[in-house]
Amino acid sequence: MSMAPNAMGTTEIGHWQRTLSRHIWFLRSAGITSEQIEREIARYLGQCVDIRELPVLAAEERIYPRILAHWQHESTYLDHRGQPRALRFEGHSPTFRSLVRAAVPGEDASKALGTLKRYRLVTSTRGVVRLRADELFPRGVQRGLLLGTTLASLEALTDTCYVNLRAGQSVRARSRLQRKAETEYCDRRHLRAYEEFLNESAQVFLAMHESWLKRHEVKRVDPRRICRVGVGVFAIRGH
Amino acid sequence: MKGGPRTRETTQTAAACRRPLVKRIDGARHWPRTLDQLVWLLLRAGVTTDQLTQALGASLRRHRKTRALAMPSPEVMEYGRVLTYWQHEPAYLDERGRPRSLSPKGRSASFASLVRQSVPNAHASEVLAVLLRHGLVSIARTGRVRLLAAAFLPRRKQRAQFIAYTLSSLEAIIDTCYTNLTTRDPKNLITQRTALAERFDMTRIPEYNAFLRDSAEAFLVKHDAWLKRREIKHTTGPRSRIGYVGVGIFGFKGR
Repeated sequence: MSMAPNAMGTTEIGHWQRTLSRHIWFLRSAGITSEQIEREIARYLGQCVDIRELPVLAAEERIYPRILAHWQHESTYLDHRGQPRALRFEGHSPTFRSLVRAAVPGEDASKALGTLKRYRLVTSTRGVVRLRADELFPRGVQRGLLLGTTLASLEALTDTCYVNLRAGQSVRARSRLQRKAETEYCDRRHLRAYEEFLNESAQVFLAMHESWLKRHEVKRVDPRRICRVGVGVFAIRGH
Repeated sequence: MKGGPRTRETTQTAAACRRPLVKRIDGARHWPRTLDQLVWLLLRAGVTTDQLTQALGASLRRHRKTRALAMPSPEVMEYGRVLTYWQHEPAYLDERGRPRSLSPKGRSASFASLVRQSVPNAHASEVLAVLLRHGLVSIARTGRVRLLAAAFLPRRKQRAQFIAYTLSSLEAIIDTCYTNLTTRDPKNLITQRTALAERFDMTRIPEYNAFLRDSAEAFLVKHDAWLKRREIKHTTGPRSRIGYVGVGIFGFKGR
């Protein structure tokens, strides 16, 4: 895979140089010297000779996981047991095509299907598309998908933190949300229960945001008026 | 965490000595491990070592004049919790639901009781001094403590607090991502999700910010309450039973 930037200055994995540079700036502000950073990276790179590259989701395909989220949460696409139903590719709605139209308007359903199949997230047999629910734990090629979204999240959080820190110097700049709730005295016996609570509440929280954002997306694209916005939720674990 | 050096320590302050061994995330102390994990993620995504070395060199040159700030101790980083409690616990709110001014001492609804509840092992006088220094509270002529700001914000002396906060968020998310990408057991997967819109109407950003703040506040208050109910109150229990857990939320905007 080529990591050469395109005309917009991005690669398949976003603005990784900028993310790294901002991280370095945070460390330098925290009093870590250039020599310490250089030494640490040189030491670690010396250990990383055998790291295998994972295929990451192309930037324009990064919106596709939204199709899966829509499939798992919108009642139209669920069966009587609340499970994502098998969908014909096209025909009478609900179909895979109508799902793509609803989840990511303007995207090509055939291309989306091809990508999701490549990442083994769906199967397609005789015109019927099924969500591979048992395969949502990232293995093999799916780790590439997770890696792509991971780097996008890191870029987003780093950018938010950077903007917030710079906002202190500029009156006009607006700070962005960056908050946590945490405890350092959690009884470890409750960890599994907390993960369940977190999953459920994050699902509700993000579904609410998905639906709010979707309502306010512009249908006709005028590049000067649009931007990418959103919210990320991540768990915190001390060891 | 499976990669990078494990260099967890406990702060050897008098207060920390009374506490169990806390595996606190503070970003700055564990920076080599977090940086290693970030490098690992980039290498996995296909960035070459040459590209990395080049980008690193350029970053270090760009930030060579960055002034180091005096970083707060991990204990001080917890003091933000006092502000959260003050704004959400009914005992500390007036009849209109706003944080009331508090007498410095006293058994109930005082600044001391607020600190006892929100950061059980901290000294109220120490917390007050830090919050005063950052301009987050003031003391009225009557001696009562008033809340001035809802959160630590990145300005003046608070910038160091904010850098520490930023690094701890990055440490947490990088560690979560790394764990999710390296674990072989589905039970070890940790929540890491986003909701986004690619074609968002920029003129509605203030509207989204307001929605985000309100919903995030409700979400985090719920988590705070859940976690607090399950905190270990006594510090004599086995150390292996105590964990550092939580959730972070961040909004983002890009073109």
